[in-house]
Amino acid sequence: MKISKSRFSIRVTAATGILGALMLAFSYMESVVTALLPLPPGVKPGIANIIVMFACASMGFGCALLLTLIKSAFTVIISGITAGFISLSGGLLSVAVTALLIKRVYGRLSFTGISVLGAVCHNAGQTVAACIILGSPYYAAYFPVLVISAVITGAVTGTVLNCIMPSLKKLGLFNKLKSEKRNTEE
Amino acid sequence: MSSVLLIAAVAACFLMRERQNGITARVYLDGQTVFEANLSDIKEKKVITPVVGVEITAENGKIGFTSSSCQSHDCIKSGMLSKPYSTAACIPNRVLITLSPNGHTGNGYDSIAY
Repeated sequence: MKISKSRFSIRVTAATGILGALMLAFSYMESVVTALLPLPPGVKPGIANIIVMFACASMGFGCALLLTLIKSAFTVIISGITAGFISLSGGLLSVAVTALLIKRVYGRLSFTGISVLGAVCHNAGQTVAACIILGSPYYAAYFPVLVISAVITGAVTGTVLNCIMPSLKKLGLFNKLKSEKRNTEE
Repeated sequence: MSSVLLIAAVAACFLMRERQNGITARVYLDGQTVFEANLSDIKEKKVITPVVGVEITAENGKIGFTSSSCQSHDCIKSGMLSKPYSTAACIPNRVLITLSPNGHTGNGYDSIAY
């Protein structure tokens, strides 16, 4: 059944809005949890990245990029321009790599592996941004710590998405938008 | 696995040797060095204020952020540094602390790469 492009756009817009709100809630919860856990400086659980990965997989790079920009804007409001710039740097690199991996190797690599690589790229982008702000490359000495934390947190978030994806597929949230997109393009 | 352990053992020996040579602490503001000292030469508590709102304390062979105007205070959570090649940064205030073995510039990467 063909669905008009306008109707598909409404669905995508609504889904993006829901995911965006969910992501902002996760981001705020993450900031609270980070303060309570004895994590090394600069390390975060990355819970909100579950939403970005799901958006990459179900609605494509454009939606995931929009969510990343929304998250960075939220970070600017909550934590300031510096934190927002760092979040944007990490987020852009992470979403680009995640989208590329999902398009090319998903199936051979599960969400866990994709999440780990996305998290490492996220921290790499943040490290570069921090070095630019500090005006010194010496901050990169902290990158090994961030890589280790990225592997751990990326594995956790990827595993969570692997676990919940079957349920989301049963709800029809995963396939519906992709099949509708195909119907509008035919 | 054995090669990883061997590399780790060599690195540990290297770091311990470097530590015995003494440690130089450097404080950078916007990429410029604003403070540099041998940690073992600092006998009394010394407070450095590279920028308004940020305080760095050096004493007893350790250095670290003790006060900051930033929101997250990740710099203070880094604690007091005493090991070579350690770093702590207050990114919103653009202040960076690095520790390197005496006789090495920056973080001493050039000396490792030979």
